[in-house]
Amino acid sequence: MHWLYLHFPRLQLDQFEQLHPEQTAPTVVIDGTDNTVCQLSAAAITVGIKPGMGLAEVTAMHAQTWIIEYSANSESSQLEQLATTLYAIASDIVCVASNGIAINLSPLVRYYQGLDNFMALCERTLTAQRVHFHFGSGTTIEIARVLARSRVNRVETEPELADYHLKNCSLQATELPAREMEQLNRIGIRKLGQLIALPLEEIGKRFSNRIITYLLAIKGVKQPPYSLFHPRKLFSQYLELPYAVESAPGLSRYIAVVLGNNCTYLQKRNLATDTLQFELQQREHDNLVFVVNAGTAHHHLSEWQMLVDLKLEQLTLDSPVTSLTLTCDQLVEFDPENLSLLQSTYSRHAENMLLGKLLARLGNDSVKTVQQINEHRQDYTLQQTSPLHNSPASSEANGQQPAWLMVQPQPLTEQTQILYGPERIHTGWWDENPVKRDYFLAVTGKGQRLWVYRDEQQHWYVHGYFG
Amino acid sequence: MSASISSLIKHPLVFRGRDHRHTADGEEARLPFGQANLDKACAGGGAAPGAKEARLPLGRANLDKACAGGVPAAGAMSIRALAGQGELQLLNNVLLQKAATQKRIIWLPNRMHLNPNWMSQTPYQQQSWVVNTTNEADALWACEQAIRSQACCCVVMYLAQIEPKAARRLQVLARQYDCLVVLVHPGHRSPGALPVNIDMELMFNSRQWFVHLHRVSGAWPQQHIAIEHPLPASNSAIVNAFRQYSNSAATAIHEVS
Repeated sequence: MHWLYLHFPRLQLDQFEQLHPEQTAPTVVIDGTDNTVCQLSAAAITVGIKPGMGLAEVTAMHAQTWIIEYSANSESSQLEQLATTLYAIASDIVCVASNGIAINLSPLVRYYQGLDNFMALCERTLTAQRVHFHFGSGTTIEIARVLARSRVNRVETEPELADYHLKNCSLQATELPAREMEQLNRIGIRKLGQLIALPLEEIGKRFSNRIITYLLAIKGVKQPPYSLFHPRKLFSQYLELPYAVESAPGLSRYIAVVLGNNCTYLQKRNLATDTLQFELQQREHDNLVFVVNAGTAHHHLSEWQMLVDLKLEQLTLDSPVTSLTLTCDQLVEFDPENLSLLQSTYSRHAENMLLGKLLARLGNDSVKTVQQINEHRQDYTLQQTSPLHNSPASSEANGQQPAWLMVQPQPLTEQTQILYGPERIHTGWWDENPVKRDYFLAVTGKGQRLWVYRDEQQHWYVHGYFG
Repeated sequence: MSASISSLIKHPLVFRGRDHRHTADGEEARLPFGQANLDKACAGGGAAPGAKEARLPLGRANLDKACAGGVPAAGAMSIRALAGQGELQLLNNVLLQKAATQKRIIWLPNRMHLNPNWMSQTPYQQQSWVVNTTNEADALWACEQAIRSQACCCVVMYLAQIEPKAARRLQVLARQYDCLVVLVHPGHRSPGALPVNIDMELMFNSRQWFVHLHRVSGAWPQQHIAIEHPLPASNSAIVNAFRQYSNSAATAIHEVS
């Protein structure tokens, strides 16, 4: 087998630079376990910051350095996103650790009619993702990984050339534990070629079986088992924010990134959704979950972004948000029928877009269609249904009805003249809300047409207005 | 600009991008797509400057005459009326005509409650959406979005008060997007005429209904236009029957021979 290994040395920093392209100050990612620099920007290199430096040293070198805390979750999420992207061009993919992807090249040589064709496509795909990467190739993932970490950036088809590059690699590029590497350094072994030259029996006397297994893989004798990557059937992405965001509208630029990934995911699979769920991790409070609904299922980034922005305008955060997760699990097959430009009938697309906007800004129960229900008690008819759920309307007339109803009938306090009635409603004797009322149409001196009723106690109330 | 250049650019055969009437006979030559709505859209609809404005009659002859034929099909109109004065009854004919486009009718009752049973008796129930808002700023925003969406033929909005600036904004948008916006408000706090197509006030004077037209596009304002504004129901038939038959000897129950 022939494996390609893609090493992403600064995934978290790449993401930060995508989110904040305007940032020009030196930026470093600090590993919280030992407070040392693990990723650094070009500007940080320019001012003399080096990997492995401590936090105090970094601030001493440049006081205005941006410091981001390393997050393994964030890198894993990004790596999964990259693997999902690469899955469109390659089949056998393995996610290794939190910053590497291995691709089996053997089936691709024939498919792409040459490795060069595939490598060009692969590089183009990754460049579009705006990530820094190095690569190497070998007969096992371990060989390819060492070459990638050594920044060989070549795909060698000749075994001799690959072997030559491998032997020149430093032990720092291997996955050997630090303790064992220190031991080897003390006896003068600094290159991988020197280690490979040692007999395995001798190494086995001094080191653990784990080292032997690793060396067998490095020699191309035995490949340890790996599970292949399969994209999720539902979209979900976690994003660690570079710093805590205090206001909901400030989240828009970060949500745009995951939203873009979501829309790309849907478009490539010819899927659409009408519901997105966001979970915001708040620093001092429980997670805040909110849902954004669209009028119809679609996968258009600009329209989703507009709906999310409207929702964010209405959202209040309890405390600053440190990370967010987008989940999209209600997927349907995309139906482009409604998007036809020259439809002779009225297109529902504009209507659905309007509905989405109204729901996002005014709330999920703000837009209703009106349906008649089989109930003479008007207090029960203030029930409306969502336009997303159409149901057949009843056409049965229910006496003279006013256009406007009061939620609670109000006592009639002004002088009126009764011009129509009575219409008696005597119902509900079978439940706990019996009604026995005589309804009338009454007119005030100003011409207002009131819907009034008299109850059993001969009290008069206004229940509505004839519009 | 010299007179010769001026006369040259006014020549009917000279193409002017912003002027539709650039052919010799004053009519722009157009090839139809064969689809009515597309052809109408390409012709500029009813909102093209200089084109004759489409009007929807209210169904009251003297009021339609005062309104130069009815309510302009695109734009905003204001009705100053108290709750229950029958403003929807007055507009019924206009709403029916707008509903024929099959586009949505948006109701913004603004803290009032539309009666589902009343709505279900109207022909435009299926195409109506009721949008509930908690304040008037949201109602104005929703109205604007509805107009811009081009998914709506009509927006009926109830407000406690409407500022002339907001009314003008809605008027301009509604004309641009071929939508009718009906603003219903009590009118106490709007002393001057609003910058809309029609600003009318519904008044009741003892036994007669009047309409005051504060502003009408295409006609002069008028006061005291008497209209028929019947009640949705009355006992008059029963009262008349009793009045007629109570005096008739032929219908007496007991006859004395």
